[in-house]
Amino acid sequence: MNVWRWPVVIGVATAAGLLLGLLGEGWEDWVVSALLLPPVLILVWCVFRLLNRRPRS
Amino acid sequence: MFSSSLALRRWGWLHKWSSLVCTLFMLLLCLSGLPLIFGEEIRAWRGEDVQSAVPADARPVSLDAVVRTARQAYPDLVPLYLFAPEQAGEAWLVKMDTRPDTDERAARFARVDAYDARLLGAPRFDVGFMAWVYRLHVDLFAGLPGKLFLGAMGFLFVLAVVSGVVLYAPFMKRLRFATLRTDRATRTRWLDLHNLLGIVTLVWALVVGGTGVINTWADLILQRWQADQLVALRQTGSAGQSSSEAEISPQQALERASAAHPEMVVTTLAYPGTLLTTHQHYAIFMKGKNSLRAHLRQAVLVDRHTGVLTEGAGRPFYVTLLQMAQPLHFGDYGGLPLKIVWGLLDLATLLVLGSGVYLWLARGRQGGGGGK
Repeated sequence: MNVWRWPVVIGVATAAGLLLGLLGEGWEDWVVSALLLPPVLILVWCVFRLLNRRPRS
Repeated sequence: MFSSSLALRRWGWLHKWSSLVCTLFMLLLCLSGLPLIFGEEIRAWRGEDVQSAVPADARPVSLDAVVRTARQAYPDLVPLYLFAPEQAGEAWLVKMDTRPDTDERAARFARVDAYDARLLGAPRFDVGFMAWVYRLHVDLFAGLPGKLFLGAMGFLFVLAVVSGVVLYAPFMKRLRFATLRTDRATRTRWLDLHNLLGIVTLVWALVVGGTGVINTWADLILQRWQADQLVALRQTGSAGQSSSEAEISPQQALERASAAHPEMVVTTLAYPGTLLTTHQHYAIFMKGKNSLRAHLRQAVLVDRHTGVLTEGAGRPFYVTLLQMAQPLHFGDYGGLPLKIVWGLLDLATLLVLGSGVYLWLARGRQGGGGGK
């Protein structure tokens, strides 16, 4: 289960954002986007991590 | 089923070949999709979207006046569709072509002021960079065969994503989530990045890939729906030719639809004979007025001769599927914040695709820590 814990959390947030967006329009723009943010934050983290990687010995 | 060595080898084979076959086209779709996500903003930036201030006492003109203006702008063409303004200050968009039943590839548009029926311009959506990118993204400039081909590539992409998920678990058993072994060989670093970005963008990639496949069938879905509607109307006797040659006007058709559904607003009026309706009827597409009902769509048909209104038969599942697939693919239902997120996820998918190609090219130089 440990392997799937974070993928499931991120997947559920993404799916919730996508479905909430379909229910209406207007006030929930930011909520929808926020729910879709986990993958984006991890993308930013990856870029940051790769830019700051330790030099290989 | 998933974890035996033989099963894993089979899933690995499926992941490798489904990815390799579609990667070039998916790279092209992700790259061309990026400007399309921000299409509205790009058009506004280039001054192609016209909005004007609306006086407080302004009243919309009759739709017939809008059509008259469009016909004067293109005297050799006939109107196909009238797209209603979405916000105050926007204009009607009239799509015109030589006949109602063309493939609409050479259609022209007239933008007409909703309050005084002035011609505001004749936007060309078939020329320029955005039109070029759109055709590349939608059908590779090859019409329906191009769409269906891209749909097949999209199906392979979905297969690649699913098989990638199956391979993810055994690979990650010995690593913590989001581990990037930055002190290891280049191939290992890219493998970690590929696995991480692939798993975090999983749901988005499946939704956008799957809905993209459905969108490639849009023409076929609408043709099937039109045929089904026609059969249903024939059975009820509504599709027969009227003895009267007199025709109602688009404004009258719109008024009949609005009277039947006062809780909805008209979004599109399709002329008889076009892809969205029959030869006998205007089709009027409406959506809910308030935000919770905005995605509820209703189509009504109005007989061009008698003005009798026919409720569209209960929407079949495949048209509902298409209607749901379009916003989910375009990411245009949540304003600019959602578009920015959509763009970033598109970039992440580009990285997953690019890293996948690199991993395959560098497969002889295994860096350890899990196979690809």
